[in-house]
Amino acid sequence: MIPVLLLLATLAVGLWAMRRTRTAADYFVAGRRLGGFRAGLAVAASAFSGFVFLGGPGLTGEIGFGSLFIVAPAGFTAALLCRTVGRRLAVIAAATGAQTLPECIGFRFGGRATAALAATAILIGSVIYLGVQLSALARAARFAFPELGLGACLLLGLGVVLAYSLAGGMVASVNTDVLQGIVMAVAAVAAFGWVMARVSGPAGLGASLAAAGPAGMRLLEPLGVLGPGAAFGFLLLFSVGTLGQPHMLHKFLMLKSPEALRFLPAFVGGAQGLSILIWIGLGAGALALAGGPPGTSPGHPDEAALAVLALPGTPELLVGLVAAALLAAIMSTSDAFLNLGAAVLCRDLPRAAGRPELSGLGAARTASLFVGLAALAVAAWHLGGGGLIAFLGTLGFGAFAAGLAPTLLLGFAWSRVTARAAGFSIITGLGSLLALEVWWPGLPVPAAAAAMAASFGVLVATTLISRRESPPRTVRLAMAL
Amino acid sequence: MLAKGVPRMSRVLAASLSAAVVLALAPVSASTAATAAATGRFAGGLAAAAVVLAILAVWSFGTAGGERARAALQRRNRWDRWTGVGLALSLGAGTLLAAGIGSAPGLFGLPGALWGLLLGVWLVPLLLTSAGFALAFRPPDRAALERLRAACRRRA
Repeated sequence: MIPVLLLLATLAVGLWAMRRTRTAADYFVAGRRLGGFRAGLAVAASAFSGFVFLGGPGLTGEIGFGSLFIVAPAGFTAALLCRTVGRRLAVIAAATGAQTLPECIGFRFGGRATAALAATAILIGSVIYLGVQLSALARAARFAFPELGLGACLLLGLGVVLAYSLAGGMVASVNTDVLQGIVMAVAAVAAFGWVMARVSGPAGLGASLAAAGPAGMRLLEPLGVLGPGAAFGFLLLFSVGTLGQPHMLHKFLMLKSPEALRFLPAFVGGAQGLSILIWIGLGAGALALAGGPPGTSPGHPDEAALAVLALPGTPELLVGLVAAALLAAIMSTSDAFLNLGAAVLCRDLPRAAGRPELSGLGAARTASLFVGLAALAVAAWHLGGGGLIAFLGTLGFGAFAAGLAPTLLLGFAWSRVTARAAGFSIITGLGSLLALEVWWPGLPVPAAAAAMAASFGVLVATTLISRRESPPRTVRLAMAL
Repeated sequence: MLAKGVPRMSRVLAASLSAAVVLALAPVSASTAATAAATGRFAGGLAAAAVVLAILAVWSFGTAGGERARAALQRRNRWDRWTGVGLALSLGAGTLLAAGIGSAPGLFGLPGALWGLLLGVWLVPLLLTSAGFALAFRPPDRAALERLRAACRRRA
C-alpha cells in the first residue's frame, strides 16, 4: 500500500511539475529556484540510490562491515563538496546562467574540446549508473513478484521511471527528491531499529556472528575480509571521488543564490546520515538473520536484504515503508541521470560540435528516452551475468570520479591548469578505468581508485610542464569569489 | 607550486600525522613483521595514512585553492581552521583504528576497530563538518558577483 501511495504521490508531482515546465531551463535546472533545504534533500536523494538501499546491504552480507568504507565517507563529503567544487559551480551558474556541468567546464577552459570530453564522461557514467538503478529495481520487483521474469521486471522498472521523469524534467525530479528523501530517511531509521531489536542490539549481533566461529568474527572487523588496499581504496574513491559526481553537482546549478550553500552540508549530511542506517541495519540483518553461515545465504546476495524483510514476524508497515524507500531511492537517482544524459545529448554535444542545441521539450524527452534504453541494455547485460549491484555501482561512480573529479577540483581552483591538462586527465581517467577493469580484474585496489589517482597525476604533471596561460578575467573573477 | 595553495596549518597537520603513523608502525614492523597479520597491519596503516593525507589535502585545497589562497591566509577563519583540525584528528584516529593500528576497547559487543570506522570516519566528521561549514561560511560578495555577471554578459 505504501509503495503505491508513493508512486501516486510521485506521479502527481510529475503532473504538477509538467504544468510548471515551460522552458529548457525549467527542464534542466528546475528554473533555478532551489533553497538550501530542497537542494540538500535533492542532493542526498540523488546520491543515495539502489546502490545504497539494496547493493549495500547485499555487499555487507557478502563481505561484512568492511563495506562501510564505501558509505562512511558520507559523513564529511557533503561539506567537502560544498567548500570545494560546489561553491565554484554555484558562483559560475549564478554569473553565467550555465545549465549543465560541461557548460561550466567550457566557461573555465574555453574552447569546445574539454566540455565535449566532460559531456562524454557524463553520458557514459549516466548510462552505467542508470543501469544500476534498473538492475536494483528489477531485483526488487522479482522478489516481490516471483512469477515475473527478470526481463519483465526490468521493463516494468524502466516504464515507472520514464513515466514521471519525462513529464516533468528537473522540476519533477527535485520536488519528488524531497518527498523521496524524507521517505528514505524514515524507512532507514525504522528498518535499523527493527533489525537491532530483532538481533538484540549490537551485542546480540556480535554474539550471533561469534557463534559462527572465526569466519563470523572476521565479518565484524573492518579489514576482516577486505584487504587494506581494497578497503582504503574504497575510502579514497568514495570521498574524493564524490567531487566528480554530476548528479550531485548538478544541483548546485539550481540554487537560487550561492548563499543557500551555508546549511547545505547539514541538510545533505543529515539526510544521508539517516539513510546510511539502512546499509548498517539491513546489512546486519543479512549477516545475522538470513540463515546459514555468514556470507552463504541462499539466493542472490542482492536479495539478502529483502530476505530479511520477508522473515516471519516482520511488521507489514515496515515492509511497505522499506519497499517505498527502495523505490524512492531508485527513482530519485534515475530521473537525475535521465535528465543529465538528455542535457548532454541536447545541449552539450551539439554545442561542442558547433551545431545549434536541440531546443524544446520534445527533444529533451526523446533524449531521455534514448538514455533510458541504453541503460536498459547495460542492466540486461549485468543481470544476465549475475553480478552484484554494488560492483556495477562502483563502476558507475568510478567513471565519474576518475573522469571528472581532478578537472573539477583542481581545474576550478588552480588557475594554471590548462584545457589540455584537463582533457588529458579526463581521457586518462576513463581510459585507465576501462583498461584496468578489462585487463586487470584481480587488482588489489579498486580499479576506479587507481584510475582516479592516475587522472590526478596526469592533470598535475601536464599542468606543470605546460606553458603558463592566464585564464580570461571573468574566469579569474569567478575563481576568486 | 601546489604547496602555496595549502594553508600552513594543514602542512603542520600532515607532517604531524605522518610522524604519528611512522611512530605507530615502527614497533609493529620491528617486532612482528614476520607474521602475516603484522604485514597486513603495516600495509593497512600505510594505506590509511596515505588516504587521510590525500583527503586532508583536498579539504585544504577547498578554502585555499588557487587565487583565494592569499585572501584566505590573510583573513584566517578560526572556525574553518578548527574544523580542519578536528577532521584531521577524527579521520586519523578512525582510520588507524580501523586498520588495526593501536587498539580501542570494544563496545556493545562490537570490536573497537569497527567503532573507529563508524565514529571516526562517519559520525564525528558529519557533526563537525556540518556545523563547522555553517559557522565558517562566507557568501560571495554581492557586488563582486554583480560585476562578474556584467563581465560575463559583455564576454558573451
